[in-house]
Amino acid sequence: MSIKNKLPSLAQVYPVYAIIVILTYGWTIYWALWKLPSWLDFLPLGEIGVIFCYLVATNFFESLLALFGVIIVSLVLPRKWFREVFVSRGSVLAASILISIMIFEYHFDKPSDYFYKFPSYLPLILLIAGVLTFLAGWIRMIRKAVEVFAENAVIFLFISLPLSLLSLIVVIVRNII
Amino acid sequence: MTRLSRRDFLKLAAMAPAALAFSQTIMPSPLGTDSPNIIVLVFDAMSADNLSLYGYPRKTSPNFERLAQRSTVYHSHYSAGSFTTSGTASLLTGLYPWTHRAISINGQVAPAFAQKNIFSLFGKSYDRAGFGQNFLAELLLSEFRSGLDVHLSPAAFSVRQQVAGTFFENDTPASYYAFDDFLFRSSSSPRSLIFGLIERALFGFRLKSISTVGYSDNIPHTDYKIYYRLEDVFRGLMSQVNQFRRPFLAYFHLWSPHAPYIPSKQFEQLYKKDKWAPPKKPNHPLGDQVSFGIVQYQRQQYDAYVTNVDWEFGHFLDALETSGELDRTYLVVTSDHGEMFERGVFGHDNPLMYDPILHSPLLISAPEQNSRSDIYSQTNSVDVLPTLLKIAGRDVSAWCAGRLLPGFGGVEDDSRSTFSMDAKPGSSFGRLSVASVAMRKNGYKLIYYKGYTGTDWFELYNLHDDPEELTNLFNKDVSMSNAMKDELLTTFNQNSGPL
Repeated sequence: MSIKNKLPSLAQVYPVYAIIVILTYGWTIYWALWKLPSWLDFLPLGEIGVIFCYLVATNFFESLLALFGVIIVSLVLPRKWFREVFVSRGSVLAASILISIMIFEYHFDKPSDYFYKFPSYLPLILLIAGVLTFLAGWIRMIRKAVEVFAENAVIFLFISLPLSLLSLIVVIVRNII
Repeated sequence: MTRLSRRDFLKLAAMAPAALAFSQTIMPSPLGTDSPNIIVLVFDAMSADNLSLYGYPRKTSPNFERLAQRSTVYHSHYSAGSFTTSGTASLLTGLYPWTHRAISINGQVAPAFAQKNIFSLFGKSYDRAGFGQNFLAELLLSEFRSGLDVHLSPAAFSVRQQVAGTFFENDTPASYYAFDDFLFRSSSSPRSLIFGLIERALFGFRLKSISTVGYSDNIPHTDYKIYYRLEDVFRGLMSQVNQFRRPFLAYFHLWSPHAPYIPSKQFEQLYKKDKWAPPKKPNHPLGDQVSFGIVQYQRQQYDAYVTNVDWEFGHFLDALETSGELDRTYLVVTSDHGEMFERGVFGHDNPLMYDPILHSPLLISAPEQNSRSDIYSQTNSVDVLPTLLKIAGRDVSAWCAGRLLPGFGGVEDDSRSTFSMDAKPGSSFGRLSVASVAMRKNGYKLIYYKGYTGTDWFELYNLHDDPEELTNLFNKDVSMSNAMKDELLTTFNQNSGPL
């Protein structure tokens, strides 16, 4: 079977990407809103806007990286297991791993934790993600619910993508001039 | 060849004592080919109160004392700010914090004053270099970068570093704020979900390979993922000094001895068994209420670290002497603020205005100076900029809050009022509604705490009779209290309005 047949269609990719965007952008924006009062104390609004451009541009690349990871899984696994239920399984796989990372990052902050502890947590994260992903494709009700949620989440792409493009332009221009 | 007549010889002999006396006064070189080189070496969070140079019982600064033998030593020098941003901004602009408004952590100088910095004022005839190993200092250097010919990365001379902002040279400090102070800030969980994980794991891996030879656990490091050895930093700075075009102005702002206090094995046990203890002082309501034992332990670590820093500074001094650079250069050694180990507080992240947090070392060694001169009258960090401008033959502008330092054209004047201020909690742009201000005059110090609790209050100390600031005279010496209070409030109210 060719690689092309294992690649999800764009219509399948958008909902999964939307889930990734909600989690990656949401995490950064949540913390940025906590930080905002401090920035307002000493930075002009324009400068805060530029900082947000850096944050959004970073989120854009990391969301693409996460999407790339899900697509790789789709390429590796048999078409029936993943490609055919890409929206539900891809969304749950991405969400379960990203939420696990959130929980880990919320509790640990030392660089050594990330080097020593995360690898020992990784099998557990993968196990949970694997089970949930399996269930998301296997139980019809879950599959439908995830698909409906993910497809509705696509609306966020209409905000995040133009914003990311604008942020990238700002970052590039600021670093060229 | 003309021969010296007996009459000429006698004339010259008569002039000799005057010439000798004249040579003791440090005169600035005129602008031109003989413009002097200037190195400003700032040790972050180095309190003069903890230096044996200024009478501290522990022998923490033998090399500072060595430099003092050929320097003007300022005994009552105080920083205008109580932490890096405000203290450094005052040093580099000659303005008080209420004017420059770099008063928040990570703050910068208000745009109206951003061009009134030492580098821009020195102009292009000087090779102007800046190195801020502390990010807060680096943010100011980034703001002043149009006046810098050489802008060294805060991570220069490090063993390991992971500073993302350095990849965006054209857009600092925004990139520093976004990456190093937020997305990848090491003191909190990563704010970038995936890259944060990767970045931190990578740094954990890279830290594993750092050699800790000579240290018990870890080598010195900053809050921003810069790990370094002091000897590398001083060696790197010396190498830079050799590369600068003449004349040069070099501003080197070192992280050490800022916390975490990490002395090498050679120094870490130095004061663990000595019997010396500072006087016990009551906890301050705005302090951290840390136990005396912990404060003492931190002081011991700090003192050992200061001694370690002094030792490495000694090698730098040796290198400057051996190369002959010290005979061609003004070497200014100071700090941006002090560090406090009393009243239930250690460090400087608090609003208190006691001397340990404000008393900064200041030594200025002039080219070919070979004797020590001691200045006991009070001076302030805002005085450094006008003095260096004068040394370089520049005009001292009227907007500058500082005066020429005694020994360099200024006069000793204790009747002058000088100020130190902290206003971290509020907005840099608005009215300063939460602030602590210290005013010094005639050997007295009045401290004003505004907006921290329901009631504002004052403390007055006679620094001559009570250098440890133990007896609050505010309600006892009413006439002095009222006079100083009126002056402080008038000055503060004139300057605390919104920008």
